[in-house]
Formats: sequence, structure tokens, C-alpha cells
Amino acid sequence: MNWANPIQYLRDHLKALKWILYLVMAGAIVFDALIPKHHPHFFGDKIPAFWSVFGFVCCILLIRIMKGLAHTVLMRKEDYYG
Amino acid sequence: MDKFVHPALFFILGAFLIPVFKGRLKQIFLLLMPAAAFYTVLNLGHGIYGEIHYLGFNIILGRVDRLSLVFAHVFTLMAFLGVLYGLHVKEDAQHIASFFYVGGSLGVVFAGDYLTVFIFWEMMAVASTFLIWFRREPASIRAGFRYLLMHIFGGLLLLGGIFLHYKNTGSLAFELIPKSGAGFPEYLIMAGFALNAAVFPLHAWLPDAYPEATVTGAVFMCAFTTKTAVYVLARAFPGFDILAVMGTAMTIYGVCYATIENDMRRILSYHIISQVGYMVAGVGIGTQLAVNGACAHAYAHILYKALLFMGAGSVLMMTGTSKLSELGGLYKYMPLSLIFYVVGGISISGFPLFSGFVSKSMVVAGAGEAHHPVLMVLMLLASVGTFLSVGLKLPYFAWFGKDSGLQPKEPPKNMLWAMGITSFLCFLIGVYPKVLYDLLPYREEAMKFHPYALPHLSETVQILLFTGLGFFLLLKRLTPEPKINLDFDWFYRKAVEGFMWFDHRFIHAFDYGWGELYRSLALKALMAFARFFAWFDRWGIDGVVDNVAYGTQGFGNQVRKIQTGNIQHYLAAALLVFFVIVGVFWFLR
Repeated sequence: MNWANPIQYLRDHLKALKWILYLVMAGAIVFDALIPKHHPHFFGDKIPAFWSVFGFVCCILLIRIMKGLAHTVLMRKEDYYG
Repeated sequence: MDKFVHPALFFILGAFLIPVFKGRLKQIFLLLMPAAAFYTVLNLGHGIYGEIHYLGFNIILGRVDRLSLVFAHVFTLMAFLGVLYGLHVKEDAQHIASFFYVGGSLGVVFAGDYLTVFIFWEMMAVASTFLIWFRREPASIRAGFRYLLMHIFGGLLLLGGIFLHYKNTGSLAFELIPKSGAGFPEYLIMAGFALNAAVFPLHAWLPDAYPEATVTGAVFMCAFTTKTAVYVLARAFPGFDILAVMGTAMTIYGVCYATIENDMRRILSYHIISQVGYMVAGVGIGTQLAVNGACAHAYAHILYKALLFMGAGSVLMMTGTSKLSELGGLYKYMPLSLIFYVVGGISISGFPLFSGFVSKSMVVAGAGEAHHPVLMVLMLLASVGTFLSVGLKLPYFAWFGKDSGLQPKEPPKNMLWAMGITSFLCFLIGVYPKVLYDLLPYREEAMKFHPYALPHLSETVQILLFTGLGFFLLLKRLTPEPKINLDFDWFYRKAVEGFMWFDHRFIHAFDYGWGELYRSLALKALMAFARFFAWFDRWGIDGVVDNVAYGTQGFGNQVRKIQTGNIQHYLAAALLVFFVIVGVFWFLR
């Protein structure tokens, strides 16, 4: 069996895949609003969809801040250490 | 079980037998040793074995309890998978190095005293250095030396701590150190352990060395050094707040660097720091739940991180590069490697149904239950970065992204099998966490923990989904760049460079100048001095000696002429002398 075929199939239907993922995201938020939450350890645990926002914002910040740091301070040519 | 067979023996003695076997037989032998060790670990009963009194020290080679067993369990299992992954390697020395490496970490895990810990600790450091050197690239040779030097430094911290600890307490027993009883010696020991756990800022050796190791060596290295360090920290220092803070800092630090790295194996190395951070934090929080979490995460981590290194190593082996900027579009040619890698990627990210989900959550919950909400949230932030780099960025740019034009084959069968089995284990632990929870040090506490509780499930799924959304929105910004990033190794690499400059500029210059001065002035003076003595020798000493000889010879010649052989001459001479003496006598009177 060529294992590349199912992967190729998914790639050929990227648009459908995208919509499925959007639906799953919406579903996750609805799910979060519905489930009962006992003894939360953190204020965010009580807010519906808090962790969605948390995940999204953290991801954006992480990329922006680290790429910024890399381009200003950290990044060097590959032969920097000789 | 009455008889105790130390599982490390299979590796340390087995290593000597590796060159004896050839071909298929060698492969069977290589697989048999870890399998036998794993079987031995399964059948070990709790207790203290191998106690030796030597020079007044109490050496304990085999302390078996729940904490040592869970680590020995996963170490021997991992050794089997690692050997299977490297089965195609023809060079005996590589197998021997990995056997000694595994033997060393098992020795540490069962050690009951600091002396034994230290000896096996150093065995690991030396054996693993060879796993780097055997890649035989110039960069690997240099990285291996840096790695060895750092570990020797860590070993010295540990040894210094052990000596001072022994002086204070009179005992070498490797036991839990009470928080109130910890002073400078204990913190030195902790620093020695922390260096191996890659605790910030003693971490830079890890992302420096692991990406330069051999393909199969890196699979071993990612499993043993840091997790042995987690074991010794969990044994001696549970509940030390500093570890909770440092561990959480590590989780963030690792993911930050992984976001901007280009080399696949360096990204994964930074994620070792991040993941070991969870374990160190779990140990530092120190509650039963958190220590359980640290052990569970160590167990799960060894498997999925090895799987990730196997996947990245396959790409490196088949394409010759591990730089994301040179890769892309491999999914058509290496789909199985991709699938196995992704299993590792979603395991480390903590997807439900995979191993990271049931282990990482235990540490995070441990932080929550112990009322450390800040640590808990920071750990969740780190899991965002984990999915971003390991779960999305790395596979996207290696297997999809732009087409690099590379058309590699899948790696050899043994590597695929190793990846397949490890993938299965990651999945098994995820869907049936009881197999893992049964092994944990505090079993009752572990049984009370339910990772698939709805709030946790909802939290995890949301974080992962929306991290994915963020990734695809900023995909262009993440394009890998063929650059390196400065890290703490800058300090010692530049310090050495500075020393070399100082040496060249001053020490060497002084040495050279001194040499010149000596040659131009001192040497000339010496030569003149020598010439004077040569002259004096010839004309002074030789002159005296020779003239004495010539004089004696001449005198002898004259004396010889007097001796004529005629008695009348002798009588005349005697009479002459007689009259001269009498004359002188008479004259003087």
C-alpha cells in the first residue's frame, strides 16, 4: 500500500478539511460552555472559551515576540562560531 | 525474587560480547540483551540488594522500590526500541557506546549511595560523548568536546557536593534530602543533577550537542541523560520550590527557542528542555500527584521524544540534511515516517488519546492542586508552543511546504518497525493510561486521577485547536531561516574564543618575544662565553697539561743521556756530589 495516497487525498480536499476544522472549533467552544466545572484552580477555568482565546493569543504572541527577538538579537550566520 | 540480577549487567557485560557475534546472530544478541534486562526489571522485588562494605563506605548497587522501578522499566524498554532502530548500524563501537550509556543510567537508577551514583553518572557522560563523536563530522567532534567538558564540570559539582555532604553528615546514603537540612553541599549536588537535567542556565550543552550526534545515537541520548537526572532529583529533592520555578521557566524557554530554530533535531532538543521542565517542576512541587506526574511524564516523554528523534533522524539519514530550510515536500516519498512522526508530535502536544495527554496533565493538575496557578498557566502556555513547533511547524516544513526537489526513500525496515512499535506504545498509554499509572510511585494517588475528565478535555482541545489556527494565520512568518540562534553556550564558547585571543595576543606574543630576545641577546652572550672557554681550554688548560707532559718528556730525555752505563762515570758523579755536599755543609757552618 502506498501510504502517501491518504495524505494526498487530504491535501486534495484542503478546503473541506478547513471547514471541518472550523466546525470542530465552534463545537469545542459550545462544548466548553455546556460542561459542568467543579473546583476550578484558576479564574479562567470558569469563563467559557477562555482556553480558546488563550491558545490563540499565546500562539500569536509567541511567534511575534520570538521572531522579533531572533531578528534583532539572537539570530546569527551559521558560521558564526567558526 | 531472592536472587538479584542487576539489569545494568546485561548492558555492561553484554557490551564486551558484541564484537564476538557476526551478522544476523549479532542482531539477535543486540535485541536479546535489552529484552532480558526488561524481563529482569519486571520480576524485581522491592528491597536493598548488592550491599558492599568497602573502605568503611556502605555501597548499595541495587535499591529497588517503586520510584527506581518505573524509570528502570522505561529505560530497558527504550533500550530495546533504540537498539531496534539502530540495528542496521554495522559499527560495533556505536552499539558498545550505547550499551555502556544505558548500563550507566540503570546503574544510577538502582544506586543507593552517592559513590555509585557518581561512578555510573560519569560512565553515562563518557559513553554518550562517543555517540556524538561517531558521526565523524568536524562539527560533531567539536560539539562532543564541548559536551564532555560541560558534563565533566557537572560531575565535579556533584563530586564536590558529595564530599562536603559526606563531611557534614558522615553518610553517603543517597536518600531524600529534607528541605530544612539542605545547605551548600546539598545545593551543589542539586546543581550537578540540574546540569544533566538541562535546567536553565546549565542547559546549553543539550541543543548544542544532540543535533550533532549520530542518527541512532541521538535517539538514545534524548531518552537517558535528562531522565536519569529527573530520577535523581525526584529521589533527593522533591518539594524544593526552586525546582518548581526553574522547571516552569524551562518549559517556556525551550518552546521559545524552538519557535525560531531551523534544524529539526535542534527544535526537538529545545523541546527536551521544555518537556523536562514539566518533570523538574513536578518534582519541585513535590506533592504525591506532582511527583507521580513527573514520573509519568518522564515515561511518556522518553517514548514520544525518541519517536520524534527517530522520525527526524530518518529524514536526516535519507536526505542528508536536517535543516527545515532545505527540506519540504517529503510526504510523497516518506509517508510512513511522516505518520509515525506525527504520532510523536501529537503525543508531545498532549492530544487526547495519546500519551502526553495523560502524563502532562498530571503535572499541570499537580501545580493547580498545590495552588500554584501561575505555574499552571505558564505550563499551559508552554504546551501551546509545543504543539506549534513540534506538532505543526516541523512536520509542515519538512514534509509539506515548498517542494525541495528531494526524493528520498523510506528508511530501512528496522527503523520503521522501531517507529511503529513506539507509536503504538504512545497510543496505548493514551487510551489505556492504567498501564502507566500502575507503575507510578504513589499508586493509590495515581488511580484517583482521571485525565479524561470533561473540563480537562475541553481545555486541551481548545488550546490545541486555536494554536493550530494561529499557526496557519502566521504561516509565512514562520518560514525557516538558515541561521543559528545565540544561546547560553555563547558565554563559554566566546569565553574560550576570548581566552584563545588573549593567549595569542599576550601569552603567545610574550613567549615569542622572549624567544627572540633569548636568540638575539642571550644566545649570542652564551656563544661568546663558550668561545672564550674554548680558547681558554685550548690555550690555558691544554697548554698547561701539554707543557707538563712535554717538560716531563724533555727532562726524561736529559736524564736518559746521563745514564751512560760506565761505572767510572757514576763513581765520578758520586764523588762530585759528595764534594759539593761537603763543600756546601762546610761553607754554611
